[in-house]
Amino acid sequence: MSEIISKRLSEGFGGEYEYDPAKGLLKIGAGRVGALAKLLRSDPALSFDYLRNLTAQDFPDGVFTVVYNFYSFATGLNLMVHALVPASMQLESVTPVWPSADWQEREVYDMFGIVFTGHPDLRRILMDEDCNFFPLRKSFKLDLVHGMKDMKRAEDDKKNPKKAGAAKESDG
Amino acid sequence: MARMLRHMRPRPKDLFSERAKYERDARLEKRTDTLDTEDLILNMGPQHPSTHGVLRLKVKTDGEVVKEVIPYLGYLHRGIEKNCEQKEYLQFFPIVDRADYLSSMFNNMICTQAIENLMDVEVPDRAQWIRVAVMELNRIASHLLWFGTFLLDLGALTPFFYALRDREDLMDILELASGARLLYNYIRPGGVRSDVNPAFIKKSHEFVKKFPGYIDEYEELVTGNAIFVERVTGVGVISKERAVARALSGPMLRGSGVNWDLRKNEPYGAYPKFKFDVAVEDGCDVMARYKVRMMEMRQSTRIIKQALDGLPEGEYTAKVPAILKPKAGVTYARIESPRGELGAYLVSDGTKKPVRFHLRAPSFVNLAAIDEMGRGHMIADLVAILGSVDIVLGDVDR
Repeated sequence: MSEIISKRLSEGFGGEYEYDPAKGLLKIGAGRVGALAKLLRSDPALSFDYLRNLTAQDFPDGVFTVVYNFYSFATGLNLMVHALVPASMQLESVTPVWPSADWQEREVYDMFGIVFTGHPDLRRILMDEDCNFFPLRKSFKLDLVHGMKDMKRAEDDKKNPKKAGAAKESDG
Repeated sequence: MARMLRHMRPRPKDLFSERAKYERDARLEKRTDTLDTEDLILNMGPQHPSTHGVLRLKVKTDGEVVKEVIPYLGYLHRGIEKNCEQKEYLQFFPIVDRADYLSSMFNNMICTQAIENLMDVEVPDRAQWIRVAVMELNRIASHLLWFGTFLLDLGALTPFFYALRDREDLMDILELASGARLLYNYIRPGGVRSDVNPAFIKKSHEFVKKFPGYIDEYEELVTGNAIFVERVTGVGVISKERAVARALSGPMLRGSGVNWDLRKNEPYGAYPKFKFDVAVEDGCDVMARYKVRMMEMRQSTRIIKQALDGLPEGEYTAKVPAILKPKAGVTYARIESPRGELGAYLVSDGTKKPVRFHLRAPSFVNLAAIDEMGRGHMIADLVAILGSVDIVLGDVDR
């Protein structure tokens, strides 16, 4: 089964990639999502028509990856794709190819701040529209949540520690 | 007065002038604008009873016809995924329990499945059988609550009482197994938390015996009812192709004629050893989804009966360390929950805490199709469509 995927990838997909047939995991470099989506969806030997899951992850070294899980009703193939997010935090949207990506990409944008270019309606979905942080990033520390209002103050305190005490008193 | 009117009336020679014609046309245009094409924006929720929780739908309507549905989510967002990253593996079970609180056995199972994928653990047969039994009991309980509230939305009050009467038995049974009525925290990596007792077996047997009769009762009450049939047939149609493109799952997908059930197609646990049919309807509408769920309850009863009859002797859990440390790796586990494909994406680095834990919530993905299904229908139909999606807001918002 997985031979078909590696064969089609080597023929049809130019650019860096790393495919592990045992795990069914494909890793691609930055900026190749659009080309890959076209290949996966329209190649008759693959025809991945069911994007069952889309999420992202933030590794502690500051590298973001968007994760796609595909299934094909036509061929019965399964594939997990890890797409590296470039430093600009922008990635091509796959919503025009798989409509199910719509809300899931919005969720990823909401939680990680990854911007999907070409998405028809990229807004926050679960968090408040006024939020200025991305909660699932590793740099977001949970102990700040206990006073949401205090988050900005904590940042300010970090910048000028001298004023830290004064701000608290005045809010009293 | 008469003098005034005479004064205002245009003089005959003006009636046919260019200027008069222009004014008349302008008035007419304005009238058609104000009467026919103004959209009304209606907010349903977040405290609307038919949204079963805190969902806000912004509905653009033309008269009573829905032109667009824009859902606003997040009123119940508790940051479950972030919380799970802060906890040890066993500690996050009670949190994930609260995601889809009407079928929390499945939430336990998905965490277990994801962790077991990254661990070398041989789950004893007895534990596998118990898992299947409690999950199917939970599936019926969840479908019963859907059945009651869905018909309540459509204006039928009686089925709600029938459904809750029978769900009460299920709550009692699951309490005998796990000690809790709603949030079980029962299925664990390696097996289940505690063995089932004879009272559980006895009560389950009784339930399995009488439940098919109950379903007949529901069907008699509802399925052939002319008002019900009129309200749900041809409403909320989503074609097979669109259902796949939208990645719908569970009864939503099977109601659109796709034979896709993870218990059969990507089997997990002990399911390959059980005999049951997958309910598929190709009506693509609310009626089809209703039929699929009713059929599923019958099939679940079949599975429970087999699980109870063939319950193997032995251990109820494998020996697992108190602090779990799955191997470093990446996995995407999925099971068939009452709402569809419940998935978990887990990244482990070999320590006692996960690096990333993502819940793929079936309600969330299914709800995304509400705009597509609702357009062109009446507002009252939108309530029926929303009921047929069977969302749990805890699952949508996490």
